[in-house]
Amino acid sequence: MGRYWIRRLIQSVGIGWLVLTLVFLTTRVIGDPVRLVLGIEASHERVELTRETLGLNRSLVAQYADFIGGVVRVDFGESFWQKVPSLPIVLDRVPATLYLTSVALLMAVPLALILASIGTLRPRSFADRAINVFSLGGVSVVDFWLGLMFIMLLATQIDWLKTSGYGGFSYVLLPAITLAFKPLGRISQMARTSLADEMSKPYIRSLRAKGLSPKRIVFLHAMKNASLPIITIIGDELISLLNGAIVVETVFGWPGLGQLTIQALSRRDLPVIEALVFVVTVGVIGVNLLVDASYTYLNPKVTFGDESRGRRSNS
Amino acid sequence: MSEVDVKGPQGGKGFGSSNDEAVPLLSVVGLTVEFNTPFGLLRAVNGVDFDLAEGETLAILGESGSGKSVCVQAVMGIVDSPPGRVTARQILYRGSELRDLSESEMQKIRGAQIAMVFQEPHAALDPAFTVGQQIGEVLRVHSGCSRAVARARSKELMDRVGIPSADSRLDDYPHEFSGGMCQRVMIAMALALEPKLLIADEPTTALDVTVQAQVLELLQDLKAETGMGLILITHDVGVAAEVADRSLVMYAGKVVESGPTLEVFTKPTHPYALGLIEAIPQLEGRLEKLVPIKGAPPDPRNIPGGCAFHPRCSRSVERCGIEVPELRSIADGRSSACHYAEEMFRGD
Amino acid sequence: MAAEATPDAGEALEGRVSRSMLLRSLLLDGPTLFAMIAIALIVFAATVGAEIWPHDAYDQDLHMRNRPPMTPNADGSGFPHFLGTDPLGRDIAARLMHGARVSLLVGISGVTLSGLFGSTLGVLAGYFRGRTDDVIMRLVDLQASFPGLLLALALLFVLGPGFFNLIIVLALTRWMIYARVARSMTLSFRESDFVDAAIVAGNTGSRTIRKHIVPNLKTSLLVLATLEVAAMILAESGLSFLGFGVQPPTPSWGLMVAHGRDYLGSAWWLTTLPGLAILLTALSLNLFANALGAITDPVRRSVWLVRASARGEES
Repeated sequence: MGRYWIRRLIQSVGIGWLVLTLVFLTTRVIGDPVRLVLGIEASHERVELTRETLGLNRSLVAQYADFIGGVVRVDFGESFWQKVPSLPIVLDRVPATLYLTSVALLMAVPLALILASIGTLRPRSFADRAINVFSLGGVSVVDFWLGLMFIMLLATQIDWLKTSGYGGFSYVLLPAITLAFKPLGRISQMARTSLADEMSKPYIRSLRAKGLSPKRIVFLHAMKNASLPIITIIGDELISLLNGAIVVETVFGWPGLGQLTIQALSRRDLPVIEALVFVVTVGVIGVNLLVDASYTYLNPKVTFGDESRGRRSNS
Repeated sequence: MSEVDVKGPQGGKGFGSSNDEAVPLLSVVGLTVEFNTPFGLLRAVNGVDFDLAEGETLAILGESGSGKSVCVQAVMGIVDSPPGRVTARQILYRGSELRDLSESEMQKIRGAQIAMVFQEPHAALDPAFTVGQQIGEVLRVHSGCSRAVARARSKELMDRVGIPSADSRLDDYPHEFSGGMCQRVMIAMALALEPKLLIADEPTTALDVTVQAQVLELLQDLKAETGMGLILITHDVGVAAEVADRSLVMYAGKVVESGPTLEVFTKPTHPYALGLIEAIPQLEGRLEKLVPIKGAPPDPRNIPGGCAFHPRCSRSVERCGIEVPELRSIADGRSSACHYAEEMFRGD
Repeated sequence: MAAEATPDAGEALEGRVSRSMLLRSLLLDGPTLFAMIAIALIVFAATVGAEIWPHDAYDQDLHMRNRPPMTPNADGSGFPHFLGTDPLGRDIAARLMHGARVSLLVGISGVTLSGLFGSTLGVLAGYFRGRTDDVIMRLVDLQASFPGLLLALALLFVLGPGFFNLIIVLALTRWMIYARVARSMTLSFRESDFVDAAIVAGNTGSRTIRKHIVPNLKTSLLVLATLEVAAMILAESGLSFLGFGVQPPTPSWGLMVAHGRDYLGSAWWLTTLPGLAILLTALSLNLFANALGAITDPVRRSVWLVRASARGEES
């Protein structure tokens, strides 16, 4: 099994390299990177000057070598905007986004699992209806609008709730709730379906015959067996949260990676964009590895040697 | 039998009352189980009566769909109640009505006083927990003992049911055991709290013939040791003949024949029971053609009128399609639900 | 009510299901009926409504900025501004209707593009298996695990803004789900007897695919496509909100929400109404897709019809 993980690690590095190469090709080859940076109206001389300064007039191969060399040295060049190395700028923002997404997950996951469990214990009760509402809402409501509605309706009434900026509870609550909405819907629905599937399996009958209470059967046994698909979807949502973070951080002025993305794109700050993609890629690969590692712990039947195709989609 | 005393709760509503010697262990009268499906009402069990004395082995015989499993599930109270509905005149365990008990009181009885073992042993065990954890769970939930005590007792139980290297195998998962071993684990789990009644629902159906024999032998040994009652559900006449004191034959949700096993098998008084016996392949003497019962068991949603068996019965007459034969006593300890039971008993 | 048209549980069981029976079952279900009416209204607004509405979506009138709903027309005559005016004095109702046009256009063309691309790859992967399958599914997994919004933003950054680019980018970020579904269905159909018979009868690969596999995929993919239109509309509104999608002056619901952001306190209708439009559209599409899914899946169909017949008997 150890060999499997070494293979995975090497694969991950390969994937990371592939992604970076794609980034390189997209930015340098499709469209003119200089025009990308300076905008369409820049004068011809300015374009040529910038091209030379940035070394973009050299051969593609030379540029690529430079690029990869930089990545290996963990140097993505200086930000066009701030004239300081770009990777630290990106890394600086990571804690804020982690903070926000953690709070959002801490709100969504337990609630989703509790709703799913109650729904399993008491089918067609309020819990099942709540799950339907949340999951339908999750795919129908736009996060930015929801956030703005929260600001408009709640924050203006309640002074204590802050609508912008970084800080403690009063600052993080609204953006986290907005961010948590979609994962709540998806996770609770998936958990409910998985639990329902488990409850129809033969071993549940044995457990009842043993005299175990329904609570114990659902919370301990069914939940543990259903944990694989549930963990998969939590992993999916972790990464989807990055999508949500871009929007929510912009709406609430939260100084994280999401806000940086929009800022860097608006300012056409290429090095920062590249560093950002790198950091996100590393994060995505990390989450995937973590999720796969948790499989073995949760379900003893799963041993790796064959590739398991999970259903993952974070778009 | 054990070093560690972890008996389940024995007190409660009149259990273990010592006054009446002849109180049957289990007494079921008029049991009916219906299911409310989107496609209509399905009656799986239709007015079943049976008794079980202490220390007796009763076999419930029938094909799939005859309602035998649902019957015992209803006794245990584990029929899913929104789609299912259980009605009965009485379900008495040691003289007390089980349906009067609250759900939590029933939970104390299940696994401790009345235990059950299922078909398909691999599927019946929780794949996410070790065998030791699952046996230990029954002990800890019912008697509140510590993990260490539970583990020790689990090991004893695994030894008793014949699982080699019990100590190391406690930490193995169900998928690491063979079918026969899994079944032994289930038996160990069922016996952990020394129940008075063990219900085995087709315990050997999914196993190889040789393993079957071993499991049956194990059950008989344990029964002899503990004096518990055993209800054995099977579709295999041979298995019933081997272990059961009395046999009950079910068809389409009703009991059609009951009595001491030997008598029922040597002189059946219901054409269905007769058919089952005649269908057994003869391994000795002249090799004759196999004689199956023609036709197929009825769809529970569409049970024939009159006697449910009449479309497949070689003796049926017009009366059989109209009038439902009642289960009645033919001789001492024997009942039958055929219009011509008496004739069959006399040997006509 | 014609007895033949009422869904009959018995007939449903026996597989004798008529089109009118299915249609009536749709109409008898509250949420589905609501969804169908809503979709019809939205399509009407996008096509006919936008043309016949007395106010123009592009006419600015700086004297009529940010007027609340039901403000009378500037010259006091004719149609009032039913839903108010925006920061540039343009009629909101008109802009909403043109926005519907944009959303539907983007949704449908995006889905068509991604659906064709994704399904084709999926069918190829499922039919030919082996290396083809491996490569295609590897690609799917890779892209599926990367945050879609980030990818879309990066692509739009490189390609530049514009309607055409927007549709291409949206299609590029969402093709994977079609590939997965098409592949798994192709895999199961491939094993079925009629495909074997076709191959024995001498059909070459492409003909077998076209004639035997594709027709069976159509219904499931249609249900998926409906769901995806909703997802596309949400995605487009998000991108437009962030400034990277549809560009002004073309109205887009996401853009309208963004513009209204500065006036949250003073002009609530600027952000609320377009958001509600998005919500209504996505919700109806999801509900309808749900009903469509129940009807087309033989397993779910009987339960659906039985429930409908029960409702039919009540009415």
